[in-house]
Amino acid sequence: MYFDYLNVLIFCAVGLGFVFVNLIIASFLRPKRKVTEGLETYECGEEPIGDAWIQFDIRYYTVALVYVIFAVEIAFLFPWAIVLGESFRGTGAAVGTGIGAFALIEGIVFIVILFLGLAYVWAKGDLDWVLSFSGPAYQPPQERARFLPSVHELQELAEARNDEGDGEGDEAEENEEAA
Amino acid sequence: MDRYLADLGLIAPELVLTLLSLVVLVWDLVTKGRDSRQVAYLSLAGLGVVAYLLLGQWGDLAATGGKAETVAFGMVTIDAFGTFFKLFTVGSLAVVILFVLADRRERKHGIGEYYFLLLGAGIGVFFMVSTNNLLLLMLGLELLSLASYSLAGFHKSERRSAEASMKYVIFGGLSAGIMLYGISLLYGLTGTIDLNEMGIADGSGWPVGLAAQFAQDPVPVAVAIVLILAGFAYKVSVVPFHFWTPDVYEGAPTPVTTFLAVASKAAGFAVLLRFVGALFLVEGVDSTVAAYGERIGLLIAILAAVTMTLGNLSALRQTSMKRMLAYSSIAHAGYVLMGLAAMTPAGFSAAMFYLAAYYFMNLGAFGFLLYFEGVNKSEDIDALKGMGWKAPVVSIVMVAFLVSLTGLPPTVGFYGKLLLFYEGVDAGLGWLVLIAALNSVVSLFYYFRIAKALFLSEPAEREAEPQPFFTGFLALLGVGTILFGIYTEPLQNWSETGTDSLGIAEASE
Amino acid sequence: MLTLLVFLPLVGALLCLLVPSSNRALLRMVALGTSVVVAAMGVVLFARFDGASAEAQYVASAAWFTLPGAGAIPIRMLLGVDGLSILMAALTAVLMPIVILSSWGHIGERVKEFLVWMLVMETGMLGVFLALDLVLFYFFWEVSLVPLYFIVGIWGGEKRLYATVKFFLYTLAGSLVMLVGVIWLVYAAGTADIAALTARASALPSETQGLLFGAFALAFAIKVPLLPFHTWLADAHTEAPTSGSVVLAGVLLKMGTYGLLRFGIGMFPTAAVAWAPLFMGLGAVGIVYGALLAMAQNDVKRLIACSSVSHLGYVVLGMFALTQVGLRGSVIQMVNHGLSTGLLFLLIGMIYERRHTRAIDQFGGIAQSMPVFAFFFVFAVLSSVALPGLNGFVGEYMILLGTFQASPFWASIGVLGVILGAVYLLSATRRLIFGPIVHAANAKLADLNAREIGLCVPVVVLCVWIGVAPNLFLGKLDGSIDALAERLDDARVAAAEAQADEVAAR
Repeated sequence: MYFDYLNVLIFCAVGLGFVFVNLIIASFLRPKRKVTEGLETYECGEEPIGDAWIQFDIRYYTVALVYVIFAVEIAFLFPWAIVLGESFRGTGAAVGTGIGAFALIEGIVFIVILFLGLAYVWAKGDLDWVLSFSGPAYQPPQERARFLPSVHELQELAEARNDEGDGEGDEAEENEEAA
Repeated sequence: MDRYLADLGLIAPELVLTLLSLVVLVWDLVTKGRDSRQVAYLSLAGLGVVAYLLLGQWGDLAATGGKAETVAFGMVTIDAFGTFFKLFTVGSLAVVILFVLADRRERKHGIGEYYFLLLGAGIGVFFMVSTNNLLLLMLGLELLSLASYSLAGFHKSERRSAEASMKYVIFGGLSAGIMLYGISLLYGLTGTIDLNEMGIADGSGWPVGLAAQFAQDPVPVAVAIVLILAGFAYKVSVVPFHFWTPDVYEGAPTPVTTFLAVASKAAGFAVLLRFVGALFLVEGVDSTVAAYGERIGLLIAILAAVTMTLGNLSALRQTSMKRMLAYSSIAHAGYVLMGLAAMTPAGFSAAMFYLAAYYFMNLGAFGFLLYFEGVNKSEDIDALKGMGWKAPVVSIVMVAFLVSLTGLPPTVGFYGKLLLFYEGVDAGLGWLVLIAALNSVVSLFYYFRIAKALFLSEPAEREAEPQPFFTGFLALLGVGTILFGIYTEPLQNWSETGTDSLGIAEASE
Repeated sequence: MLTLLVFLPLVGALLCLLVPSSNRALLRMVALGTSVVVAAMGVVLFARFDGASAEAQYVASAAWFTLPGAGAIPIRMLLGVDGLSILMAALTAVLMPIVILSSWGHIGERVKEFLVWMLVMETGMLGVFLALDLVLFYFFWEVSLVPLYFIVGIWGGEKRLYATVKFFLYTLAGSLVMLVGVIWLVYAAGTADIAALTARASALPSETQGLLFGAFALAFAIKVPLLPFHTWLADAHTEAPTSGSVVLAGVLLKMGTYGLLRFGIGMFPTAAVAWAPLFMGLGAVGIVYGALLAMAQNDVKRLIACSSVSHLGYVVLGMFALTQVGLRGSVIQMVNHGLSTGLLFLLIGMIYERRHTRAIDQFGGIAQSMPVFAFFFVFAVLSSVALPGLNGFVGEYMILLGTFQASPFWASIGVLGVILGAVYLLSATRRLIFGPIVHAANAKLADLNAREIGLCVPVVVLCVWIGVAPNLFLGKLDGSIDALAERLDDARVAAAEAQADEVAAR
């Protein structure tokens, strides 16, 4: 019976293989040029402003949460509405169970509870885009820990190196020529 | 339509509790949290109504032998077992709310969510203890867990509290995942998520009973069951899933710790008992499954021994009373597991009795902790030195709780241990009983460190302001601890009726 | 009647709780009054008790709860008195007023709490001796444990914390092992009624019997204390307040020997016969070892504590001789030890209150300043070293006689103990009481007052009474001890037959 699950395993293996094999092949085939544009974040062809390692505003999470709640609500309400409509028309699976009005009230209760939650969030001011905050002002950390230098830092580094001395600048030019 | 309304009548306590939580939320919103004590009184009154409904339900169920009725298309099972734990939960919620009111380090306004979250956790427990359906069980468990995560971090500006919440979320999420994996395996194997059907269905067509699966291949079933048990073990903090317990208990506000240690733990045991009972011990279970149940019993017995030993030994070295009580609650989980490991109806009812005993003595002990946190602004045992003479009533009552936690007469803890030991011997687990007895000696050592600090030191310089209501309430718990240790009939009857409703077959010797 | 006897002290304790703690006089009167009534009841019970019968008398029974499970075993509040327990119960009842009265001298602080604990402990101790239900017995056994923890821990001497924790851990370790034994036995025999258990226990497989005997004997041996477990006793005795020491010596240690007699020997005669040499050995070695320890002490209280180890060695020795005379002797010796050692502790408490030291070399010659004290002290010592005509002689003589019938070797070791006992007690007396007054403080010591004399007189009367007319006391034992001896004979015969069968099978 384990062979029933074998196709899952194969699926996973193929999926993983597809990713890594392609990457490996690409690393052999692609030209290697050390230019700063190549290290930049790809943002649909636009020039990126700042880098990706920033803290997103917590407000986006609120939006996401509210979205998830109402998305789930919709997912519940569509089948509910269809079955309810059928039962009132006297067709479908719910015929004979006498559940119609009962289910209608239950659905309303469900929606009311959900809206109570929304009202709560609203009244607590969690939906305001500009939040009032009475504590000390936020102090961004001075030194930001990061895994990689940002593009701007790389550029600054390169410029600094160019400015430092001609000898070193020549070497840098030679390297570029060689590449 | 009438049929559905009649069905709703069966889950009236749940409905009232849900309504109560919503009213609490709205009330807090409308009054802008000016006086949260009103919210607390409202919650207490509502819990009173719930308790009244539950008692009525208990009366009906007890009259018919506590047998199950199902509502909501078989999702919810109303039986005496569930009602026992619902009453337990309502009782502990009420006490926890009183503790919040008595907590001197808590604000008096703007904490309406505290009560809302507690009630929400209660709703989770209500559904999780009264279902044979693994899906609803999981939902109830998650509702309880989510509320508990927020409660543990209720003092979000305190480092310890935030840390506790974070640890709880991570461990909780992991164990919920493990458990869900087990449930999905079990569903895949048997084609049903109803425990009753899983236990007794035969092999012809879907759903396939466990018996048929065992006959085909026992390994996947075993893996699934062990995974699910791991999820429960996390909830009741059984070694080796106990690592979160001391940190979370220590960091959470004390009333929340009380809730976690008493109500949440009892709920975990409730589902554990129901799960094991419905799968392996229920009337008409296949003999191969029953034989496998015995092995699970042995596994639980070993876990029980390890849990109580580790909990007690770790508690020995603690200097903070809160942390000590956390480890002691791990040890007590080990004792309760003994009743489960016996795998007999009497063993189950002994476990339930011990949980009821645990209600009195542990609520009392945590209440004492809260009392002296307010007085000393510290959780250290050393800070209690000589305070026994300054706050005599609370301290003497505390001695009763300690005696009960150690398991000495004339307290309810002794009687609970007596039952557990007896059932352990009955089930042929003499070695486990011996380990438990030796553990009691170890536990004596650290429990009586508190008594020693209270009374056997010179009277402290500081004075304890009198808190008459809180003192009186703790004294009431103390009276319960001693009274039910001598007059054990009611609790014993209740736990037996509860077990009867699970439909477990008497052990065939 | 027994229900009242056991629970009256508890009622007294509750009454004490109601009295405000500032009103010491009333508190003391309530406690003393309760214990005197209990003592009177104890005396009446003793006088009316019919010693010729082996049956339990004055049985009081009430339903308590039912153990669930296969057998559904009822546990009852079953109280009753028989030949094995009558002396112990009466001794407890009579000693308690003395103990409570003695506390007036040295318990000045927290009087209320002290008296409450004392009365609770009295209920526990009486319950232990009178319970005829095994679970109830265990219940009372533990109830009597907690009060002493506080009595030693709060009102004790300098090292009280160490002593009390040690005492508590030792005893509890033993008693929890016993709990396992209790549960197992109740489960295996299907009843918790001690009379029924006694009949059924011998039907269990002999291996089980041996293990159960071990579990019970371990708990009791710790409580007695027998030799390897004796270290808690010296500390607890030394650090306890006077009244605590008296209760400890007078009654609590007897719970151990009583348990050995009723549960060890009474329930498992076969195992007892098999294990008797070990216990006789432990008892005899304990006699000598305790005596040697006592010789080395400078602290009077510690000396008496060590002598307790020695005296209880006699009790165990006589008991495990398993002869009629030995058994009787050991029961009467339990009473003797309670009386004479109790009296010694009382007297030491009295001089401690005056001088605040217990070192023997701080005294000397106090017979000149305290003649009445000297009289009582010498009397107690003589009773302890078994002077003919006093109680100690009756007990030790019977024990040695009984032991000689069973094992002349251990009897001769026991006799050695008699001599050693005389050596250390008499030399301590000489250093303490007689000789010139070396320390000036001893010259002006006030002699005993009326209360203190009143404490000593009843004990002295009892000592002489037992010494002169022991039959009044021994007669109460006849029925029960005869029955016990009969069962032991049966067990011996059975053991011999089994051995013969084995030989024949070879």
